[in-house]
Amino acid sequence: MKNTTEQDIPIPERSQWMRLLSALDTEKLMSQVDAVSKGWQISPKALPQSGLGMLKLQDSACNEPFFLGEIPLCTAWLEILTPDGRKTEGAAQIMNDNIDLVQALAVCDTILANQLPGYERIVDLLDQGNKICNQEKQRRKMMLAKTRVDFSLLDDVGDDDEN
Amino acid sequence: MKIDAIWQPENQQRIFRALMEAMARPGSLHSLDAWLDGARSYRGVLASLLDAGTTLSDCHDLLEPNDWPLLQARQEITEKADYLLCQGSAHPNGSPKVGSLSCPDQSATLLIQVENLGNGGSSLMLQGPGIQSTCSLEVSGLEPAWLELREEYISFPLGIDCILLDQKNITAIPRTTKVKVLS
Repeated sequence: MKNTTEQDIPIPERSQWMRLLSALDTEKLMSQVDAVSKGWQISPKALPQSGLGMLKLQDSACNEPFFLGEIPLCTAWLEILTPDGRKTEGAAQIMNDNIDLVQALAVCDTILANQLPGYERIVDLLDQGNKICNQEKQRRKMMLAKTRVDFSLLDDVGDDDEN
Repeated sequence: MKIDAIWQPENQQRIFRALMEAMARPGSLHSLDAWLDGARSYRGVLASLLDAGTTLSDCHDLLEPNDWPLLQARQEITEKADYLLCQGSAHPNGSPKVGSLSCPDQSATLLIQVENLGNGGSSLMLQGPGIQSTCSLEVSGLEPAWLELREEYISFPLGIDCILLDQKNITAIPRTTKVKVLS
């Protein structure tokens, strides 16, 4: 939580916005974005794209590039003209094939980056997303804890065998 | 989000179909008006033809900076570009690529913006595949040097293909067409 705003509301780093907002229910997020952006003129800076992205890596021995696999990928880059004449830009790129979702996230990015009207509502969504992500993190931590093996018991067994 | 008509896939398909017709019947006029929604025809044609795998040279700075990310095409110098966007009233500069004998398709397509198609200016007579006998075409706002350049670069199968565009209409002069300037 490093960014602060004019209203001194601490919000997560911009690099985390997509992850946190993606954790929310898609329909809920899109309806909130529709409500906030009602009456705005939203136009694409680049055409929204949806498809498969290739994950390119380098092997560690020869440093040759290879494709690990395909991932669903969506991008959007848009411009918003608000009724007060303010023109701002935002973008989103997510591992998903829902083009409406990526557009909604790009609108959120624009609102948060430029503190457009409705900013507080989107910050609320970030907060909700953060809570969901933390719950998921805790759940995974608990699952991991359950798989922990206590190898110290094997030492006793080893001793028995030697005897 | 409001996306202009020329970026809508269904309109791009219709414009592409009109381009196919134009290339098949050199010198015939095709109106793109119904699918442009006020945009200039060269923007509609570029939107239909270009993607991230193509290169474009905007020889006379006709495009707005905002058009480039939407077109996705990479900017390239005139000598290497797949498509050249040119102003017909200006003098040609640079040498477009003409392809090779093994790959004549790797040549440039020139999109030449003219003042008016179908009346005024120069009168051209076209002859060749896709034309029943001969066909006449009137063009205004086209520097004669463009036709000279075209002649210079065509050595079939090598050569360049031209698409002439005014505000709403297009016509094509592929490399197989012989052009004679009547007036």
